[in-house]
Amino acid sequence: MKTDDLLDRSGSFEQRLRDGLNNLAHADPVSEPGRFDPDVLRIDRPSVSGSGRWMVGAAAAAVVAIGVGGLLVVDRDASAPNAPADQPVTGPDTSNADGAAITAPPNESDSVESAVSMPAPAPVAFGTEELCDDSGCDNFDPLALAPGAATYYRSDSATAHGAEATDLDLFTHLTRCAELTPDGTACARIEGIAGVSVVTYGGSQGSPLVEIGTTYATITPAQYAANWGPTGDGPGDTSPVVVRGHDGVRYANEIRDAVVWQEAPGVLIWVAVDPSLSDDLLELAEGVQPADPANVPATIPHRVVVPGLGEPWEAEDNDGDGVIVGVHDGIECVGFGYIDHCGTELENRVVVRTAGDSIRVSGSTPADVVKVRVTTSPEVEAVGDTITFAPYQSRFFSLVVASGDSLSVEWLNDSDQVIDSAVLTDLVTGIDAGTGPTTTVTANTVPGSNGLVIALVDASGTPGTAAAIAADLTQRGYVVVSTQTATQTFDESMLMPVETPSDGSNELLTVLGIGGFDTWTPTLIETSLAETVTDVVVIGTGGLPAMTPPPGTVP
Amino acid sequence: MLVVELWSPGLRWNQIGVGEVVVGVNPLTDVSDRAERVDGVDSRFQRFYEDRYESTVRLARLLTGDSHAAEDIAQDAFVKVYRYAESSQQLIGNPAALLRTTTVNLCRSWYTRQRRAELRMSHHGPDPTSLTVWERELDASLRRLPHDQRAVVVLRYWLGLSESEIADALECRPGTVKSRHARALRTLRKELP
Repeated sequence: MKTDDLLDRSGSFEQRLRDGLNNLAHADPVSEPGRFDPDVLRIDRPSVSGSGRWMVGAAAAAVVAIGVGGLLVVDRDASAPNAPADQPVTGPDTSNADGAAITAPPNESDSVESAVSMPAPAPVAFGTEELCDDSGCDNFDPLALAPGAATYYRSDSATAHGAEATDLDLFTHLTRCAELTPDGTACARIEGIAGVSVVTYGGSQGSPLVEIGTTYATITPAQYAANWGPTGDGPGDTSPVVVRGHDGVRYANEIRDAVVWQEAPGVLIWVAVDPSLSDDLLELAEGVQPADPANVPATIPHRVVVPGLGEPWEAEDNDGDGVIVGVHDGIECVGFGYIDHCGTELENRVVVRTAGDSIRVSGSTPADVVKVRVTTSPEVEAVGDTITFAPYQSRFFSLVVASGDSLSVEWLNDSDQVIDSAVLTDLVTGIDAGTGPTTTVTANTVPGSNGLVIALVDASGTPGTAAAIAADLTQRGYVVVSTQTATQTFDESMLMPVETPSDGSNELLTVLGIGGFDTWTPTLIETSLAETVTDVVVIGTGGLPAMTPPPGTVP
Repeated sequence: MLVVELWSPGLRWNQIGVGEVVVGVNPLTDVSDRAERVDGVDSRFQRFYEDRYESTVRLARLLTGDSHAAEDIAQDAFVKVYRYAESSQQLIGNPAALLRTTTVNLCRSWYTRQRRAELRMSHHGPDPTSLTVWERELDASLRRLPHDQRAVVVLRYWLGLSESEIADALECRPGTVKSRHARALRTLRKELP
């Protein structure tokens, strides 16, 4: 069973989104429009408002990088090589994109300091990185595609239903390279373009629409049909078919009739038609053919996923959470799931994401770094090996560690000597950590935790319940690394050891007042567990009477 | 000369739609003595402005996350539409849609400039007391979305536009809307509890 099968994806969330957007839109009063004055054109003025709602960050020897994932302030360890004293300190770039001057409102200096928690104000070196994200960025260098890597499919016979329209932009926005050629000069295999057709016919002025999609994914046709079925809630009615000699699945795509099959390893083809063409569907599918190689994209943006450091690409949503490497103007960019920032300094190569009470620290390192150590408190640290990924000179890593009072990173060489270190503070925003495979975590212990690392899954439907339980367990000395909302509610609370129950698991049963173990079911949550988790506590509507009563209940 | 255009005196600006062909003059391309002008502005455009101003500001606010910028952008959008109509001999079939597209494009330009500025700035959002925790998180998540994904979300879930209407507003293909929509929702689902 998939998570989707358990979750009401379309109803409540989308309604909350509508309501939330409406409230956001009305959060601020709008002035009366008054008389319209066509001679007032304001957009060409400096983009930095003089209203004082923006502020300039300023701190000594600090590098501030803000990406899609949020604001990261890096305070280099002065004892390490390349310490700030050795660095040229660049004055602040006080021009915006339009070249207009930026000045910090003088009365905001206090809030600047509190926002970035940095020492004495001084000019800031912001680096030279360009921010890109994997969806809207056109600034990645091109990466050549090996012959056949981006072959897509079309149909001569479908032109009877309308003019052919091809959307090659999808190769720019919805793909990433999953495998390079041995010499590293080209991409041998891409991933992406699920649910969106590369080629369409008809669909305008009342004519029926024919879509032919090519999806680059290593999943089965049945899995694809399940992901892109009528509502996203499951496969719906499917039937097996054979298309072009390949096993396939016929299914409903929204209100339309569709068929999907695997044309070649890692290449799915699907055809979807309006109901009026249902009788022609299989004939149209049989008629697909590879596009003329001259019309196939020769490059994609240089955005490559490092295998093994995160969750694989998911056809369900054209995305995946892994260490991503991009190249922009010859400079390496790095991110987790999407590109965060580019640069050559160590700090520019670190990606930090939080999820609940865990932190994922990922990134790239120079070639001589073979280990990375992340410490969040005196008792909690994680050490992981870096891995190579040809043809990059860099090495890559990804670690998950429980949150603590601070966050510091050390880069170690093959003699276990610290090459460099940095204290990373003030993670203003952390999102989307993902919890896929990581490099080996060699240390992650807290005294008094009985060896358990607990994840809470709130299936009570009562906001605040998990937080109360987490606080209680923490007070008792347990390590609670995450709290997540379950994809469905349960009446009873459960304890689910991820693997074989330990002595600590048995003790926890008593603490929780639960009669026995249940089997861990990953589909209870939308994301994966951090790999350090040993036991999952699922909180049902009845709460955990032996512990903190759920909010709103009378003891 | 007989001018076929999409306007009638009894029709409000925001009710004009494609296909409502009437005979008359274009209030924006023809400085007609039939149209009352106040301070040099056609009174019908003034009504259109008054009717649409607030919703345009709110659209810009959702797209930029900045209420001050939103007011400026809304003003600029009206000015651009007005000037477009003044300078163009083309009839405006759906001024509301034109205004919407202009607003989205101005927000995109604003966003592009801001991305550079954000390298050295942190942002103070709206008054947090007026929003729930979830709404504040939604606000923050929207800011982090790429502009085009944010636009799809706002146009779809706030304005309730269809996929093809969004494609028109964003000047892209419906398939692109679909993929942006999927990516944006996926991100929001993961970020928002």
